[in-house]
Amino acid sequence: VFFVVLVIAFAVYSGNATKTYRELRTNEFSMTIAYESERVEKIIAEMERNAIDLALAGYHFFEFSDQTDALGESISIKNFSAFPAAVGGGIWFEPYVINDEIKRVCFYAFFDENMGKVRHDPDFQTEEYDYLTQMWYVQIKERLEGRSGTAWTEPYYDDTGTLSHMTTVGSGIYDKSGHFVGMSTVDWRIEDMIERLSSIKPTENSFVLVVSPRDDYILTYTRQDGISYAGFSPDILDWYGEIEFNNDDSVNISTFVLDGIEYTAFSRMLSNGWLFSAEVPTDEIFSEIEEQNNRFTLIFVVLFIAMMVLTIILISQFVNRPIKKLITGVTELGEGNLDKKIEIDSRDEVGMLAQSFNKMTVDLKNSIEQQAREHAEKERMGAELNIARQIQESMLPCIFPPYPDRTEFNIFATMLPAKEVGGDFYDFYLIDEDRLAVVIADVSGKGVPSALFMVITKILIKSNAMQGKPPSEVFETVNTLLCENNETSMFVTAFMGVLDIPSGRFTYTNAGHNPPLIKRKNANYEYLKTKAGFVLGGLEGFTYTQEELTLETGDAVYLYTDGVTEAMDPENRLFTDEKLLDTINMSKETDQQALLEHIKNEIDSFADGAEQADDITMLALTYLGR
Amino acid sequence: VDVNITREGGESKLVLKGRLDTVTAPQLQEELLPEFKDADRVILDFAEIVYVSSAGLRVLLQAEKTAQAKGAEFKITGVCPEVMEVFEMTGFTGMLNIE
Repeated sequence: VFFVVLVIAFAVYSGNATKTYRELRTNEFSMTIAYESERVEKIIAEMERNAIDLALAGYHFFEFSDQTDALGESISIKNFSAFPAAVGGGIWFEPYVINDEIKRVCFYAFFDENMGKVRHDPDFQTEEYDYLTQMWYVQIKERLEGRSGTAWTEPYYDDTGTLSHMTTVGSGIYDKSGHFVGMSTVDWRIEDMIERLSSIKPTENSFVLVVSPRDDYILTYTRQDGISYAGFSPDILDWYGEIEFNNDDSVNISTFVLDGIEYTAFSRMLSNGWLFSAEVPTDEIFSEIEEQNNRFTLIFVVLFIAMMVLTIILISQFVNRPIKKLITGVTELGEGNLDKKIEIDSRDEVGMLAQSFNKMTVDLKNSIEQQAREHAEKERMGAELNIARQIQESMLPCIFPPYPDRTEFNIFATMLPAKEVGGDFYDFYLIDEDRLAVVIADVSGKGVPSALFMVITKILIKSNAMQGKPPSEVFETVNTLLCENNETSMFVTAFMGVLDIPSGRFTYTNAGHNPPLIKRKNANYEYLKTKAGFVLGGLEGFTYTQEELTLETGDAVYLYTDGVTEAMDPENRLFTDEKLLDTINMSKETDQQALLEHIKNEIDSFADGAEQADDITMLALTYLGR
Repeated sequence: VDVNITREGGESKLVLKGRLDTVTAPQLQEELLPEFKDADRVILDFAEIVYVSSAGLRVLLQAEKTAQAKGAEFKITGVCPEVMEVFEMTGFTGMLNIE
């Protein structure tokens, strides 16, 4: 907006300046013409006054003298000696007014260049010359019309005396009764005047025209086309009619077109009836101002461009550069350099943006570091949990067959841990030569606390069992120990059985655990009806019931955790006790390892890709007898 | 699990819906245990509980212990047969006040 206003202001100012300047230039030309005209006017006035003076002398000669030739000659010589502006002139009388005998009486004097002085020339009185018939005499007499004052002849070329362009002004001599008796004449060699006017050339292609319209006569025409128009009628100039004159001595300004160029004519009428006109190509009058205008415009444009460049530099300095800096900074940030600080201190929006970015960078860095720390922590914990699980698993007996030299029984067990470390375990060991203990347990919940609880439970059970205590006593002791300081209310469901190998007597106690399955020789597996004791660690001082049965050769016991019966399919449906029973009976006659694999496969196909939520722990024991 | 608690006088009733397992048990623990602060009778409506895992049992055991310590009453109602089987198997039937 600022620049647009500037341009408009310049245009208006420039237009006004041009207009004012044009007026000034036009006035200047008018004044030149007026000045030159005045010079001519002055000469004309002098010539006319001299003619009047000389006519007055002629009147005195006619009325009041004895009219001697000597007097007449003397008047002329004295007159022109005193008035060197004229080349010559004299007093001329009408036929016979001086002397009835003599037709022509005249006294002509002129400046003789050879003699260097004015002298009388008698030749003009001759009959041969007969001044009475000369053009100038006839014209002046005619143009005077009997009045006082002066009259001018048309310009002519004097081929008798001066051999130059002349014009003559005359004034009448009248007798007392007012009859015209003669005239005075003053010859004006107009060469100098014409030359001077011709030299007026305000601009390169301007020219001058001086015309005597009354005489239909061109005095000078200075247009450079190689033709002299002097003496011709101005009518041969087809634009002549378009020039306008005022009837006073003011300069008229008009325009006309010549050869496709517009001219401005500065014209003035002189008091002798001549017209003086200077024609100036309009363009040239104003060429100077155009030049100046152009120069001014150039300066303006240069200034304008300089301001634009300056503005652009300023914008670049205060806006673009910071934004570029910002972009570079943000790009660097994007490439991961979180230590990058964008250094823009300005208090504008860009500066605020930069500060926001810096803050964001710091926050981002902190956040990423935080995340990295948390991630590392998780990794570490994950790794530790893995180790914990490995330790947990390694605590379970895993070499099968565990007692290759014992032929009285077969035992096989597996634990398939869930993704998260859990609290299932199985265990078996020989208390002595004749007694085999089997344990299966499930600690409530999951994770490291459960795993730790499982380890304690496993060790407590084993250490108590190894002392030879019966299962109920083992559980009571362990329960008491687990209840101590058990503020988190963790508990364990467990089943423990002790097989007396020689007799096949199987003593067992159930602490809230899933009932085992038992298979008699040549029969199906069935759920063992047990008296449900409370979970271990649940209630201090709980008394556990011990039960017993006798295994025959070929009888089998299957222990499991709820990871089996509560395995889930994608719709969260449970595997259920019934399905376990069906499944186990489908392969009841295979060996323990195959049996457990079969059940595991059935669970897998039931789960149908659903994530295993709990440990799946199974233990199978077959009594083979002595 | 969805827990909907209504309190009236000294009685808080929590209507449960869904599964009570490793994932949801901590949530129940957070909502159930604070009830014993003000109420002297807390009732768990189990009618729409379809599964209880050992983690769920642990919360119930904790609640029972809290109730005993405070001398408050803790009761579970509307237990479905499948869940009741779990309670029976683990001996919780002898421990908890189940209606």
